[in-house]
Amino acid sequence: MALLQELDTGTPIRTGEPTVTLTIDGRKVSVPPGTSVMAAAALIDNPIPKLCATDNLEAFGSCRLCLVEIESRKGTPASCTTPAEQGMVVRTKTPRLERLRRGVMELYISDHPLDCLTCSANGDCELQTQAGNVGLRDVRYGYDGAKHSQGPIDASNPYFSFESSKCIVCSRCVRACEEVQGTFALTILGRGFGSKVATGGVDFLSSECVSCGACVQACPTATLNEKPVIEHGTPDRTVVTTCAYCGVGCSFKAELKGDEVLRMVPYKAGKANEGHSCVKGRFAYGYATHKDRILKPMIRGRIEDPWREVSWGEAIAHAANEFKRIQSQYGRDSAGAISSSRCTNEEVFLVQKLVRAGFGNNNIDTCARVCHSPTGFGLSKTFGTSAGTQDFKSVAKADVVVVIGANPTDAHPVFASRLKKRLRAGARLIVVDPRRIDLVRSAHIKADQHLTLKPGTNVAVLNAMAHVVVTEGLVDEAFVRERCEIGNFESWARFVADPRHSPEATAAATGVDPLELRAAARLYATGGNAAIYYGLGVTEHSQGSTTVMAIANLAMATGNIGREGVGVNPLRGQNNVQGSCDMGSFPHEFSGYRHVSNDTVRETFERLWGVPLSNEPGLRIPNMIDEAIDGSFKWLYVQGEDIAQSDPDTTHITAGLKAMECVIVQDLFLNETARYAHIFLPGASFLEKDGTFTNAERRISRVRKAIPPLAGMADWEVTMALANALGAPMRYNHPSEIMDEIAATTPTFKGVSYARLEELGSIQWPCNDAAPTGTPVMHVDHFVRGKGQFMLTEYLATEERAGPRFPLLLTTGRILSQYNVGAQTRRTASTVWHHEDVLEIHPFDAEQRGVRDGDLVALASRIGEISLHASVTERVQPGVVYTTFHHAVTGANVVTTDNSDWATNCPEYKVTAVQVRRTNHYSDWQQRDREEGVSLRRMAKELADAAE
Amino acid sequence: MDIHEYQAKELLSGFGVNVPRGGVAYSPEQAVYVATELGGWHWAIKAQIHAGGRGKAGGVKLCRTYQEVAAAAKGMLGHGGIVVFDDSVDMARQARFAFEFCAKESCGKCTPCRIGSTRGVETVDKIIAGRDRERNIQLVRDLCEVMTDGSLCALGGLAPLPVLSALDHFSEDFARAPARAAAE
Repeated sequence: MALLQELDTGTPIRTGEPTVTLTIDGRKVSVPPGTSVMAAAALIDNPIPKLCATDNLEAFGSCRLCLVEIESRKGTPASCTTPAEQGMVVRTKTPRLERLRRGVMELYISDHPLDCLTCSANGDCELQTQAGNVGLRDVRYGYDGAKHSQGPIDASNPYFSFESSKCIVCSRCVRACEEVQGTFALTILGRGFGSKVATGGVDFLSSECVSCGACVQACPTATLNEKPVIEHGTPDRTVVTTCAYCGVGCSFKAELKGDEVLRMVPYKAGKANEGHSCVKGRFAYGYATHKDRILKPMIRGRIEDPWREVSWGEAIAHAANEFKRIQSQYGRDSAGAISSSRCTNEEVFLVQKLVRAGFGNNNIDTCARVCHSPTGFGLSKTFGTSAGTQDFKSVAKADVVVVIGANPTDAHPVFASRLKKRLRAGARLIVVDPRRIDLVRSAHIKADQHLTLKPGTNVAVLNAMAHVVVTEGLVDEAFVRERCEIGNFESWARFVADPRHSPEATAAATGVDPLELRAAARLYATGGNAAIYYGLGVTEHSQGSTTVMAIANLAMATGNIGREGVGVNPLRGQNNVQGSCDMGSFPHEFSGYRHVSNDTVRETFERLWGVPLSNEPGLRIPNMIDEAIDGSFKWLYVQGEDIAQSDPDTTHITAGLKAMECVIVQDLFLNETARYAHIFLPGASFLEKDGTFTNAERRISRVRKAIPPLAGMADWEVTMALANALGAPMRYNHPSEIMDEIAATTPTFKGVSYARLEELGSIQWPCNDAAPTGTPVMHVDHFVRGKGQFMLTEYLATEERAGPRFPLLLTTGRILSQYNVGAQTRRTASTVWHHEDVLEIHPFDAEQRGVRDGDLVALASRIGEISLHASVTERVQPGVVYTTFHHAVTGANVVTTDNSDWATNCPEYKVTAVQVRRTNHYSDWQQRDREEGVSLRRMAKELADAAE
Repeated sequence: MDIHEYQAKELLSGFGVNVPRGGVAYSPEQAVYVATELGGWHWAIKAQIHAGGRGKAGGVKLCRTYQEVAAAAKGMLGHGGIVVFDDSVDMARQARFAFEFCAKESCGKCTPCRIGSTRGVETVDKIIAGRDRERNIQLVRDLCEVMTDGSLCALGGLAPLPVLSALDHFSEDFARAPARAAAE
């Protein structure tokens, strides 16, 4: 479609019934109370000229362009700051207003460069538009007066430029950074004529700016402009799609010129993000056209051989032949697949269908194994469903927010902005994290309690909180009686009331001050609407599932389920990990979380697909690796997943991969897993295909093809080709047909179709006859399983303990600018931030070891050793160290153990006993890795050239 | 004279001299109260300052309604009220000063005051220098309308009052030859 312009009402749309009726230029309009006159006029397509107003920011009243005349009121009030009132009669176009508006524009232009024709905002500039709108012909002040035309250009940020000479000091950027993003990195320095936008005395890159781009989007002139637009000009068409980074799932308008994406602009109508985004989604899309992209299929005999480019037909045929050979030689269960949590729902559905219908087994797993599988287990046991209970918007109604094992500022930035907005408005915050994350203390935000527990003690802390709730009489009896299994609750209440679970008794193990813990528990139980948000700091533990159940117990006991502002909210990581789980990428479940041994369900699929299906659960990823080392698992199809970098105990993973006979990797780049692959199938990025992603809110959103697939095939087409070659025929002309099949076989998706998605924009499952437009908040009247079930959650300390050899505890996490294994973000300009993983270590621990900030240190666990630079900081507590895993060369997972959650095998990334010492060289693993990185990635350039 | 008019009247009436009835007010509300006490249908609101020529400077206002009384009293008792000079004053420079003061004090939030006050100084300078007088005087008047009606607060909103007052009642100061400036 041509460039999509969204309506900007100038001031925020208020929710509520349109009970205020006013007349604007003779036309009546009804709006909810609190709506401004400006917004009311915009809604009836009679826009009032404006420059300092935009509808994701509160009214400011600075430009004075939006003046109107209101009957029986003096003067010419600004329509942005004037709320509509019943019976008001407004005129927006009179000779006096015309003179005033032209006078204001004349003043603006008297201090503005006149290079419109060569300006990067030519054709896309609100100042230009308004000057034309008011009929400005003459700037009688002349151009010799005081001016800001010599302002410097700050191009330090890799993605956008700040050209201060074009600034009209409308403060939209400052307000966007405050109100929308919540970082407060910008301000207006000086006053009067000398006012100017500043980033606190340093340039953009060195400032507190997190490069979210809200200011660039808000800026009405060329002052803050995206670099691609400056370089290439304005885009001419829009494709609305969904971000492929994290589980917030922001909606974007990809604005292109031809087949080149010039910028990604957040889509205001996107319900997850409502017009906001972070640095990754907005700016870091360059990896899709990076030179590292592999665009042709490749095969090789042994992994030490160089890669050989081949045609799609040859690659697929080779994969199929190898499959048949291996399955006949080693048996039915010797083959399996790992689906991607970043590919679309349709693509994941096809991969699990390929495994079940094509291989005849259930050896299908996905990366949710290593992140939120405990959520699936824990919430299905307690509530009956494997997903979060709210939508993101619900946080606006929360009075108390608990953030446990999550760092939304870095990992779910757009959600964090919503959370911060609510916190600034007065909601209270409890943070449970061993580390001092940003939310504990940042601009205008202060956590009421920060429980700095020792890594691995989540269950003890939650049991202690439950102990307080039960023993101090803070249980919501009415809710429990009505909505939960009462016998169950009583045995749980007896369990947590035991003195061994009291805050005082657990303090020694957890390291949490009992008074702080009691205060936190009381606040959660009595502070009003209380919501819990959690992340991998909860799930990636040996008691991950137990922790999730403990969280669910707390929410049920205090009645914080079933309405807006409360709930249990897992912050799911990947853009489609929720969808990947929904589609049945589990060895034990079909789509919709139905067990493979469920005969009725299995028979539906058998009838539809025309083949018998196995009713035995298959291999999980760790099992696949173990079986490979044992010699019985030989053929693996990995789509969009890098187990060699992201799974724990790297040495074990690579040993498993090396033991296989045919590893097929389908990805954008030659990632770490591809080093051990025999067939490489080029993947398609989110810009190159149609499909749907499901975000952490269970929201299914469209992904739309903006450019043709660079390698010639979309990922679902590749899986289809493979299936056809294997004799498990698939015939789909378009992903919508795959979605239709999903809807026909999966009750929670019954009402979903591409036509419906076009209509509604996005749909939160369950979407069926009972909920035809989807379900924002779950468990409203009753839990999915009927009555909520309380689970007994005994604390069992992990086997991984600090000891004399390994006295520190390592925990891991992510930062804002890089994404997970960095496969995408390392191939964009975002490398200017965080170009290496560093080890955060407390000053006490650093001093004991003679480590200074920036020193190279060796990080050793009983599993392995790596070297990296140290960052001495008090953000971690004594006894705990922290690092990220964004760079393959760091090898963070060389040191993580094979401990995992008892129920789901989710690895215990968050607790590893380590020792840190100064060193002067990189570890053996890192040296070997560097060599293999070259030797196992060689391309047969000579052969390819000769073939042409 | 070192006493105010109202003090003089008190003095004189104490000696039996017939003086017009009147009362002192320190706020627009008090002025209306005094007017109602006095009765009648015509009042003169007179600024009490130690100077002559009040009428010419707008310091004497004839009012026929209570609203006019309140408005007249307001105009003289608050911001933008009476300023007193001797006859060597150059009202063009005073107009420039009004703009300059506004520019210095301006917070910078709204455009009419932020940019307008600076442009006001520059334009008055051009008038004083004799450049394009007619056009620039009209420009100043237009600017004053934008600032009066468009400013966010009273700083920019009332800054034009002395400027317009100077233009209206002391236009001769804006028409002086620029020779003196050139000689400096």
